[in-house]
Amino acid sequence: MSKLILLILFFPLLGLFANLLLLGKGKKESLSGWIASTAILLSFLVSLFVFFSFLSQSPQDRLASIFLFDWIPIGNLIIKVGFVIDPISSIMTLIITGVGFMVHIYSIAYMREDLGIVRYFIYLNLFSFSMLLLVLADNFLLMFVGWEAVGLCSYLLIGFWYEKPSATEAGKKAFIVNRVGDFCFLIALFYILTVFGTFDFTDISKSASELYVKDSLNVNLLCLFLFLGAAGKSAQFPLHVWLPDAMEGPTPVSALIHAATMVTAGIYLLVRNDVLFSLAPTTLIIIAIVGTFTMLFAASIALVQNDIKKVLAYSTLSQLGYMFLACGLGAYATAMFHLMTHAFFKALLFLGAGSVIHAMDGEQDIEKMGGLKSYIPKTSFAFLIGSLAISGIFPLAGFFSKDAILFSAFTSNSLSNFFWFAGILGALMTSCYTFRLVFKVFYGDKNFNENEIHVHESPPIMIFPLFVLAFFSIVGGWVGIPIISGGNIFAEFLSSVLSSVDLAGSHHNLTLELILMFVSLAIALLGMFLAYQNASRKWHIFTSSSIIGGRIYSVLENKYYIDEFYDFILLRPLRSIANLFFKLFEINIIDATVNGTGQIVKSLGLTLRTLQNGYVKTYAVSILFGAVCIILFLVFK
Amino acid sequence: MASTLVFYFLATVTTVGAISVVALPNPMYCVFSLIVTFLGLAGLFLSLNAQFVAIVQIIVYASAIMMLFLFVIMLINLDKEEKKDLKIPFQKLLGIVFGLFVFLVLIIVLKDMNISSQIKGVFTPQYIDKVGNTQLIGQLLLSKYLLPFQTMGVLLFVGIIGAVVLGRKKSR
Amino acid sequence: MVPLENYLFLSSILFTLGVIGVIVRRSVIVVILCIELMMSGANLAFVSYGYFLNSMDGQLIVFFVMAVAAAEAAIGLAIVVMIYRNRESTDLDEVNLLKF
Repeated sequence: MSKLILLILFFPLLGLFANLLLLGKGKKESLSGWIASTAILLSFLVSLFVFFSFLSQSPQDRLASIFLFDWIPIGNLIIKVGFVIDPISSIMTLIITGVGFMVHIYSIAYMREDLGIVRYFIYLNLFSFSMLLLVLADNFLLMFVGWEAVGLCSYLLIGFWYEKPSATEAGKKAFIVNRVGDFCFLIALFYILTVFGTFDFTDISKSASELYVKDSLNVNLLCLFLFLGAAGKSAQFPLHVWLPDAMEGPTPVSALIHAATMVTAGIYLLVRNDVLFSLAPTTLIIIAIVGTFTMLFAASIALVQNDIKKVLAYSTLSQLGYMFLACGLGAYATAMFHLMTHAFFKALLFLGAGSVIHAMDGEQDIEKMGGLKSYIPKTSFAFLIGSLAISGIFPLAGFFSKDAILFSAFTSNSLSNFFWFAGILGALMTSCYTFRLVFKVFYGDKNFNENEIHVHESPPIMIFPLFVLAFFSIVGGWVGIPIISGGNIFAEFLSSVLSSVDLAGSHHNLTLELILMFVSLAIALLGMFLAYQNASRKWHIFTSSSIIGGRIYSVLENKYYIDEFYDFILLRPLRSIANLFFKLFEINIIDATVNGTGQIVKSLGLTLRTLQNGYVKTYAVSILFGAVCIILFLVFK
Repeated sequence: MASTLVFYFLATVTTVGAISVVALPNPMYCVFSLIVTFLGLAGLFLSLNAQFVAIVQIIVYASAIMMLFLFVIMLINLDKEEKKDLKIPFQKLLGIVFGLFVFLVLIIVLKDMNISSQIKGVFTPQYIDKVGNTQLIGQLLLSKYLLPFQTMGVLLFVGIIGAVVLGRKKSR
Repeated sequence: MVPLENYLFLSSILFTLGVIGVIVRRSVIVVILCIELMMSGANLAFVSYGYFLNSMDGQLIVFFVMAVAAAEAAIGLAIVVMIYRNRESTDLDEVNLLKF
């Protein structure tokens, strides 16, 4: 059983190396997609097997670990390489490999004509391997290796079309912003090392309550830094700026990395260390506030974006805010639940968007689309399913997960009504912008020239993943249906790991739950209605001509000018400092030294050359002179 | 008293000859001056109880080698040195200065020699007179200095061959 | 008896004159002559030391030096003859091909 963990990790690695052999082989390059997909499929099957064997075991036994080798022995500390799989990581591996498999298959057709297709699949496999490493690691440092590796793959894949300057800039931005988060993570790691003396998750969880006083400054700081690391990876305010720009990468990449997996690594980090975080309630409140803020902030921007992928990117930011809100409220199982359902419908939405872009020959501006439903009905249907799911319409997946979060918000102790209200507002905006997108793209008048763009449905390889994901978007939430006695199947599955914390629905007031369900459903429908009115131009809500003379509109459209702010505060000073150093040091000192050395050698050579002028007399005199010097030396020694 | 006079006379002869070698423009005259110098040196050797060396100096140096020089001069028809532009400016002045420098160094090195404490050899003048200078040299050559002696033979042999090869006219 | 320093002084004079001659003169033959002069100065020094140290080594060394000088003069003059054949001139300032 423990060996299976290695298999899960091994297959993507195998696919990676197999694809390396295919680099530059011309026609055979199209095989790379199949190789990569098979690798992920195998990984998925193994994960499935592990999952089912977990199901058949009692909660205490749902654990498998394997120890590989001692990695860094320093004095008393021995950092090991080992892997562990428990219900949380099992769910994560299923998501990574399952959704990943869908994305791989989709990419086979999507990237068919791209010259760098082998490189693409190598990166994808590398990413899968790194993400699996991240979730299967049994200690912080190994996880950090996976953490950094997914950041690297993100950079590689965002800047995949490296001839586009905007893509390379976006890749750099992603990596650098991630770096800031990683720096905080590192500080947290150092802190952990000094306090706990080990990086092992199990050991830390066991000894945390002994070593820390609840809600003391130390543990709060530690958890804060861990959260900042998570915020960098999961794009929470103010480290969110890289995610919208990351849409420069190919759409399947956005689906996999920036919707389903990498951005959820932050959530995973928090859930993994629930014991630590539960000792730091202050930080939890901060996390909840930041999550809520990001949720509302991103949703408001999404209302006025005109690029399909940007809308979805901000939507991802908003949903991540929901997940962090859930974590901040202590409802870790709920956060994981929403993570799972979000993976389904967000990947579906992104892949659907990719299908639309493919159908429109690369057009991404929704103002130039419209009425596509008749042209690409299958894509349209799948996209509709995804939109219903994300808006939280019963009985699709998003309804249950979002409702669980809202319920936790309402029944939690701290500022309950504020969070619930913010959550409701977020749900309203979510369905608004999602359906604005749907109506603008698939319904309404055609804003493009039929003769110029030949709108065609995507090939079956691309439709198949869409339908699979649509299926899961529908049924995926049913594992979270609250059972009358409290709790749900999903939470029960995770209960072995999250035993000490507040499970969603552990104390249930059924009536309250039903009332809240109806409220959230009504809000979602209201959002749909508003979007419909806007689309049919009866009410101009989200256009530039309304919203108070367009001022608010331009603020939203420019993403609250955050990027410009960063540019002013950080980038310009850095650039001028760099320029200063360049002029001062590089040119004057370093270049002068290097060039000067060359000059010195040259002039020395020129001078010494005159010694060999061919005149015998000179040679004779030199000999004599040398002899005299030797005599003097010998005498005066 | 007499030995001092002899020494100074011989020294003067030698010095005048040397100066003439350096100063005279005609190479023939230089050769003759050098012969005179060698004769003076031979006399000095005699005063130093080195009879064999003195005679060998006259036979080998003053006559054989100098005759070689004369032959070559006549062979290549050497004239007086023409006055041309000097490649190195102030060549004469620099030469004299350098020479004086060398002289200074030598003087500094060689004065204040107190060698009376280092007399270790056994060959006092009386002993040399008893055995005979030439016999002594012969004995030493064939015993203590056998190897250099033989090497000298090889060297001369090589010199002969080299001179013949170098001096040959190209027949083609 | 004439002290050692006198002989050494004379030897130095001879050597110095030889050095001056090597630097100043432009004809090859005369330069070789001046080299011989320098060697004679050394010879004198050797013999005087030998006399004053009661050793025969000085005279023997001079013997060898003379043999070497003979060989060297022969070869040197052969080279001079060859140079003259090639260049019709034995001016040392003309012979400057041994350079960079």
